[in-house]
Amino acid sequence: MNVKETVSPVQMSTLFFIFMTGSAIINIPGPLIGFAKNGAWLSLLISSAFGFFALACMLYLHNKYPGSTYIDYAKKMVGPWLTALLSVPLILTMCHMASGIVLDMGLFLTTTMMKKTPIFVFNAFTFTLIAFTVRAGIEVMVRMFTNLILIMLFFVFIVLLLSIPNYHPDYILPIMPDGIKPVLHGAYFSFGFPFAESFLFAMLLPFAKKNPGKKYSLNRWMYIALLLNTVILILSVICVIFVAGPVSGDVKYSLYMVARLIDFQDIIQRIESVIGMTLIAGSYMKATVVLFVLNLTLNRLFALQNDRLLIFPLALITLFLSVVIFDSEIQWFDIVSSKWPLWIGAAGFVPLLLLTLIASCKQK
Amino acid sequence: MTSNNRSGENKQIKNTPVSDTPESDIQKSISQSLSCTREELEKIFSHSHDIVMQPSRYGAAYQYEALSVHCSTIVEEKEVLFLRSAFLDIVAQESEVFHTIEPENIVHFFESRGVTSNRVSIVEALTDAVKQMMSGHVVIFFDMWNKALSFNAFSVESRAVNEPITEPVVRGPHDSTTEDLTKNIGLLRTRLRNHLFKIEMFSTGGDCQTTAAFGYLEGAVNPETLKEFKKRLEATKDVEILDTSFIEELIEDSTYSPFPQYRYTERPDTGIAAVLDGKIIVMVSGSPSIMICPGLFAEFFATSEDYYYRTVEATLLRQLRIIAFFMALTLPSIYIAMSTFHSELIPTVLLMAVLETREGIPFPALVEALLMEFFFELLREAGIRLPRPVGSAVSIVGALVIGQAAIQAKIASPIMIIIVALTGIASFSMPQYSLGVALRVLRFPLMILSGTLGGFGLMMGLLFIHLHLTSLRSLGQPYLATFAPLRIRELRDVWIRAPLKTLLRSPRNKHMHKQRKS
Repeated sequence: MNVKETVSPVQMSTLFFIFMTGSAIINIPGPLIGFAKNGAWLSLLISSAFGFFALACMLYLHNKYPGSTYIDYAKKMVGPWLTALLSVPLILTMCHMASGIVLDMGLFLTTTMMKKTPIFVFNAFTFTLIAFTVRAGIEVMVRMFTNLILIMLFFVFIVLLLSIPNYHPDYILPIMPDGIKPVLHGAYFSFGFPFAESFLFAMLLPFAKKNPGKKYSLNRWMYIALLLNTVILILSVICVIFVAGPVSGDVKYSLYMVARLIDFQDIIQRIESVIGMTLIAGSYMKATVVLFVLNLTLNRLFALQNDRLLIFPLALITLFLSVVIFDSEIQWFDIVSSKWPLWIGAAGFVPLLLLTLIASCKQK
Repeated sequence: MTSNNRSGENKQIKNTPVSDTPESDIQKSISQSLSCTREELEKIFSHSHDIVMQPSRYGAAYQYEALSVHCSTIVEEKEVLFLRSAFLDIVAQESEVFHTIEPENIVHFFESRGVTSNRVSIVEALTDAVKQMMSGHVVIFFDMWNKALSFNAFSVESRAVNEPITEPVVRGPHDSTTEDLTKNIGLLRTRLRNHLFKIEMFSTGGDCQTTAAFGYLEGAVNPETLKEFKKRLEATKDVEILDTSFIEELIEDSTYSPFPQYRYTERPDTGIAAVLDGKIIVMVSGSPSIMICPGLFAEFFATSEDYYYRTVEATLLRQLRIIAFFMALTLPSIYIAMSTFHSELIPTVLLMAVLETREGIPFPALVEALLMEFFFELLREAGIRLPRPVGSAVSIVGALVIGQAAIQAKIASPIMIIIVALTGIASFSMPQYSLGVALRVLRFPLMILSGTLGGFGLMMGLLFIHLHLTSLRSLGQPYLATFAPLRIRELRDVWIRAPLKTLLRSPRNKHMHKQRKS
C-alpha cells in the first residue's frame, strides 16, 4: 500500500507526543493521585515502561514491514479473516476512545464552567470540528497541532510556574504511605490511559517519511517523544501533590484547581480558564487522531476507494456514543478507572504483542 | 472584431481560432489595392470617430497612394508623421537624391530591413494591423503592397510617480507605482540590476487585450511554484482583465476563503524585496498595484518600513501588529463571553465597574456588540465611499452617534464603545488592507459563537479558523508556513525582525542557495 501524504519523523513524533499528552495532562493527576496517593509519580514510571514496550513493538513491526499499516501486516501475517476478527475489538475500542475523550471534555465543561448547558452541545461542536480536521488530512493535522501543543505547554508551564508560591515540597513525603499496592493500582490506571492507547500509532507510523540517510531517526524521535511525555506527566503530578498534598486525590480536575489557587499581586488571578482551554485543545487533538486512525483502519480493512467517505458517519456514531455511553458521572469514572485499562489492554495491547511475537518467530 | 467573434461562438464552439470563422472578414490579409483596404478599414472602424485615416500621394507625378491610419486619442499627434521620416530614410539609402520614390523602393527597403530613424515593424494581416492601431500604433498602408508598416506612437497621459497613497512610510523610498506598466517595470529594474530578474509580458484576452507582466528572480524563485503559476495563468488568456485583482481571483487556490492569498503593494521597494525573496510579482497595465504571490500569512504582518527601522523597534512593531490581529479578531467576542458566561473570570473590581456601566442597557451584550459593530462598519463604509469634502461630516456624525449619543440613549455601555473602537483601530493597523477586511468578516461569526456558547464557542471558532488557515494553500505553498509547518529558524523574520546583518548575509531562500552554488 502506498501512503500519499507523508510527514517527517519529527512531525510524527510530535503527533505521538500530542496524542499521549493531549488530554492526559489535565485528566490524569486527579484520579491517579486518588489511587496512588503520593506514589503517583512512581505509578507513572511503571506504566510508562509498558508504553515504551508497546512503542518498541510498534517500531519493530514498522521496520519489518515498512510502509504498511497495522492492518496491512496483520493481513500478511495471520490472513484476512483473523485480521478482521482481531480488528473488531480494535474498532470498538477506538469508538469508545474517541467518544470517551470528548465526553471527558464535555463533563469538564458542564461541571466547571457552563453548568446548565446540555453536554451534547459541546460534544456536537467538538465532533464537527474533529470531522473537518480529519478530512483535512494528516499533514494539516500535524501542522496545526504543533502550534496548539506549543501554546498548551506554554500555558501549563505558566500555571506551574505561577504556582510556585503555593508549593509545599514536604507534601511529597512519605512516598508510599500505604505500601506498594496503591502504586500498582495507579500504574494499572495510567497504563490504560494514556500509555496503552499508544498502539494506535501502529496504524500511523507508515505516514512517516522515509529518510534513507538516517535509518533510525524515526525510532529515536519516537522514544524522545514518549520520554518527554512521561516527564511532563510526572511533573504535573508532582506539582499537584506539592500544592494540594493529601487532598489532591479528591479533586477531579486538580490542575484546574491548582490554577484557581494562583493569586499574583491581585492582577494575575482566576487563570483557570487557561487550563480549561488547554483541556479543550488537548482533547480535540487526541480525539482527532483517534478518529483519523479509526477511519484509516476501516479503510484498510475494507480496502475502500474513497478514504473520506466514512469520516462524517463515524463522527456521528461516536457523537451518539458519547451521549449514551454513561449513566452518571460516577459510573463513567468507574468505567475509565477500572474497566478501561483491561478492555484496551485486551483489545489493543495484547494483539500488538501477539503480532510482534509472530513476526519475530517468522523471522527465524 | 469581438462582436463577430461572439456571434461565431455559437456555431463553432470547438474552433477557437478566430480566423476560421467566416464572419470575421477582417482576418483577411491586406489586399494589394489600397482602395480595397480602405473600404474594409472604414467598415471596421465605422462609428469610431477618433480613427484618423490620412491619405497621401507620392512619386514623380504623385501617382502612388499611401494611407496612414491611427487612433488619435492614444497617439501623440506630433509623432504621426512617420511617412515623411520613412521616405527620408529611403532617400538616404535606397534611391539617389534627385530620384523620386517608387513603390518598389519602399518594398525593397522595408523588406530588407533597412536602417530607419523610427522603429518599425511590418504587419502582414489586417487583424494585426487593427490590433496594433488599437494599441497606439500608426499603421501605414501602401498601394500595390500587401503589407503595412507599423510605428509605435502610443502616448496617454499617465500619473507622475508619486508618494504611495496606501502605504506611506516615514523612512525609505517615497516613490510609488502608477497606472503605466512600462514605467512600473522601469522602477523595478532600476532597483534590481541583474539579468536574472526576468520580466515576462503577456496579453490577456477578451475585449480588453490588456498587457500584463510577471517578474521573478531566476534562482531565487521556487521552480515548482513558477511552473504552477504559469499553468494557472492560462486561465487569464481569454477573459478581460481590468485590474491585478482579477488575476488574483482567477489563479488563487481558495476563492471562498476570507483570507487574502496574495499580497499587494504599490511600492517598488517592497516589490523588489519580494522578488529577492523568491516571489513572483504580477502587474497589469492600467493598475498601480503589484501583486506578490504566493502570499503567506506571516508576510501580511510585515511592512517595508520594518527593514528601514532599527531592529529592536521593528521587532516590537511586529509583535504589536500580531497582538492587533488577535484584538481585531477576538476582542468583542472575549468581552461577550466574559460578561455573559464567565463573569467570575473578571477581577472583582473591574467586574463591578463593568456592571455599573451596563446598568439600564436593554440589550444583552451580544446584541449590543453586534449593533455597535454594525454601526461602526456602516460608518467606515460611508466614510470611504463619500466624496472627500463630505467625508468629514460622516466622522463628526459618527463620533456623536457611536460615542456620546449612544451612551446617553442607553443603547450601548461606555465599555462597549471602547471595545468597538479598539477593535476598529486594531484592524486598521494591519499593514495589508485585505487582511483587515478578512478580520471584519470573521469577527461576526465569532461574536455569535461566543454569545451562544461562551468561551467554548469562541475557542471552537478560533480552532476552525486555525484549521482553515492550516489547510489553505497559496500557489501550492502552505499558507501558514513558518508557523505551520513550524520552521523555527524562519521565525526570525516573522515574530522578530532579526538584524539585517544576519538576514542579508545568509540566504533567505533555500532554492536560491542551491541554484547559485551549482
